Amino acid sequence: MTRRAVRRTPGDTESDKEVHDVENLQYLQAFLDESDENLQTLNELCLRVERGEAQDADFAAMFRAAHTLKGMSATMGFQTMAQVTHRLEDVLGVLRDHPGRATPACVDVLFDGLDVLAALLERIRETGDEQGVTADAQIDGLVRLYDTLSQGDGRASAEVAAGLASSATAVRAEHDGLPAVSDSARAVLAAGQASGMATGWVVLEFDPACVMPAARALLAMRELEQAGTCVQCDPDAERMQRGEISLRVAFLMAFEGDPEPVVRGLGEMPEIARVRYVPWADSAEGGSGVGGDGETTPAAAAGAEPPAATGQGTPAPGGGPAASDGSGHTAETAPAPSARTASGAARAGAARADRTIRVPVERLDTLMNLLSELVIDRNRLATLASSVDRADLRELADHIARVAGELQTAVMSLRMVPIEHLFQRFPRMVRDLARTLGKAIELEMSGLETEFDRTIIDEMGEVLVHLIRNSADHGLEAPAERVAAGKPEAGVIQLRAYPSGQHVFIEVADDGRGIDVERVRRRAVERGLADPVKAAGLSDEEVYEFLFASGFSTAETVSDISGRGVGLDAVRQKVESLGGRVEIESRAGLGTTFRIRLPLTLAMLEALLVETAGHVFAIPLSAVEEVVAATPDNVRMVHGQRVLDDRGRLVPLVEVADWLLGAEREGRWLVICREGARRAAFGVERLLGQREIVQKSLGEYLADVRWFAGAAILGDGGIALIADVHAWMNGALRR
Amino acid sequence: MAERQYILFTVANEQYGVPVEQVQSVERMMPIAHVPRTLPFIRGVINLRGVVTPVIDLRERFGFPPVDADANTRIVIVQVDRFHVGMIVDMVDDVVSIDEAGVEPPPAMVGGVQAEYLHGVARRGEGVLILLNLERVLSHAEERQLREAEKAVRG
Repeated sequence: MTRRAVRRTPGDTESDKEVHDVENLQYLQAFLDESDENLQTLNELCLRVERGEAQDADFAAMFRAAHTLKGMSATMGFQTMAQVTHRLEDVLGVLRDHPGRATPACVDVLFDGLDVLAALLERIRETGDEQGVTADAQIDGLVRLYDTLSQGDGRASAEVAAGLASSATAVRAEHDGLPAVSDSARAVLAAGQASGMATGWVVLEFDPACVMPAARALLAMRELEQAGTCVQCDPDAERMQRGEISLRVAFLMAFEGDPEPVVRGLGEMPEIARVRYVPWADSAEGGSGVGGDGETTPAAAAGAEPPAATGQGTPAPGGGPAASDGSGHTAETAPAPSARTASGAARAGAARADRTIRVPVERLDTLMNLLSELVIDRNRLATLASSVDRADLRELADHIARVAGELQTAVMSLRMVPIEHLFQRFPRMVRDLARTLGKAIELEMSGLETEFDRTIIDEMGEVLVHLIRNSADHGLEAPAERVAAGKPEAGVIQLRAYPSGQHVFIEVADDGRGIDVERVRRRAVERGLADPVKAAGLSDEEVYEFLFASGFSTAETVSDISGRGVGLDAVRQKVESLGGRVEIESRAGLGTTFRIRLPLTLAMLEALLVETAGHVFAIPLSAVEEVVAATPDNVRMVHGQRVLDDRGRLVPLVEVADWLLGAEREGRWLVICREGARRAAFGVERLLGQREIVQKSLGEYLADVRWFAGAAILGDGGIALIADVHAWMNGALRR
Repeated sequence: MAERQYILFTVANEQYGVPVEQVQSVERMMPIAHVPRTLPFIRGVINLRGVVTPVIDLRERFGFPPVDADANTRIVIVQVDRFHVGMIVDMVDDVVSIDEAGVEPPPAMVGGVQAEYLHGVARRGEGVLILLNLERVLSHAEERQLREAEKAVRG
């Protein structure tokens, strides 16, 4: 127990570095996750403050979030983050007590602080440390804000008094007695001394600014335990564990060797103001007066402390911190600040009471993989059961199928997360965008409760950031232009999520100027993406496709907002890698909508199994519009190409055997696939039926294979390659 | 001296060895689903106890003429770096210990296989054993090649 808590704190000496690096890794993810959440809370509430909608409870919540952040970052040894959050907490403390003092200027300073925290977290996520991110300006800003907020205020003087008092506490400690030594400790010490060990109290006084004294204390204890045995400590280990700790702690040690280097080492730790070493000897008075009673008061125990000068042959620490010990201050007691620190630390360490468990996504993935196996076996069993005519076997197979189905649903639901988790960061982003661009932008969000697979949520962040920036920068007009066009000055960006059938949709819509089709057409010709004649004949939807071409931009000037180089092509790639699609809808003067269609879940899909030239392919049902039989009536030759005449509309026809396998076959069945406005018919020899399949990767070695999204294992143990319909369409329509 | 265990197999009458640590299992020939439009030596994918595993034909990989599978044909499943791949070989012979000190650098070409795919050669009895460098055999060069081939196919 103690060990664990100790290891959570960082080691500051070289020898401990490796141990703590490894151990910290386990906590790092949890730290990052929780910090993200707290930061998110702070961002949301700051926005609320800015809008003047904040309640008193919101300020309290902000203070709590900052406090938790501070505690966790200090425990993890991230000093810069701890400093920023410490100052943030100071400011929020004042605001909590005086909500009326919040001003727009103060929100800006808070946001600056939150931004640097986000940058620090990002840095920590990537490299494991905070190097390279400086927060001095933000810390200064927060300190100044704190000064301003607490000016001419009783509270400020109270703080100052508290500060003075806490240093007074530290001073007092020198003259204060040390705790009584318990009988058992006494016995251990005596035995230690008999075998030549040095025994004595190590007294640490923390810097009053120390953010997490409990963590420091436990860390110091670990240092000491490297050098000997800690026989007793004050406060006792349990209280220390709970964070009930003042600015002074004392450890009664039996050292294996010379205590001096250890004591000096502790003196060099950050946040430790002073270290004293007081050799212990079982004096006569200890034996008679105090020894019999372990509960003696500190005052009484003072008598048990031998003067450092007597030393009894134990080497007194030379120079170092102990040398400064000696001046005779008098001091009053001031328990207030230490009590405050204690309760704060205890709260930070307290377990969350809500009934949820945080589980690494990897573990869910393992569960999913096992389940995939089960689903495959279920299908095989069903095949077997139907070939062997036994009612009981069929019944059993049915039951297993049902249970497996329910299990599947249950596991899937574990992976589902409301999109709110993703959306909640955008109000802040849009606010900043609006300021940078000098536009008034309102963000409307809907469908926050729509659930998405966790993996999708993680992956979509970047995509949405890009689309929202794109809408804010290119979609929405400047305020003057809007007014001139008879629109409200403030532009609206809508972020919508909704499920529909086997898909979930996310839309980013603006009420801006719409896409200038002619300009895109011109750019496409300029860039050589299409010849002028062909470009002129393209429909609007087809022209929008050019926007997704690599590096395509119609912006006259490159702005910082939508970035350079990263274009909509990156958006499309990302979405497609998840098995989704992006569509654009735009009306001149009325606005543009980007619609992202994503599979409800990643791994399972309904597919149509087809066979041609001995190959079995699975075509995701989501892409299949309909299947028709090829007849002399509906298949025609146009310009030497076979096309499907679908009730008067011509659809390009691709013979899969010929196109993919170079085999001469004419398929009896035509599978009509649709993607956006495009349609294509794929000729295959046989239809094997519709199945629920588990999508498996083809493996890293075949990661570059173009035409297939993966493979599925069929009920008979065979393999069907899963068609990447988008790639198939592109391949087919290019011909 | 450091000894390393190797699994020996035969491809086109030459004996090759790969370190046992890289070999996951040795499988009998099984149905392979062909993956269209890949390089000729990539035979396709197999269902290896529920895991879709790519399979390459070492004969073709090294430029030897293909032969039909027979009762001796085996698929050696290896895991090298990120790649989990099956390699079709004519037969699997033995597991032997080879003293690393006795491994000589490969000549430019051994039995038609370029030195870049080889870790070295070791004398064994009257014969020579060719130790493969699987990292190279399955390397990124492959992916590039694959992409080029794709381009060529697509024109």
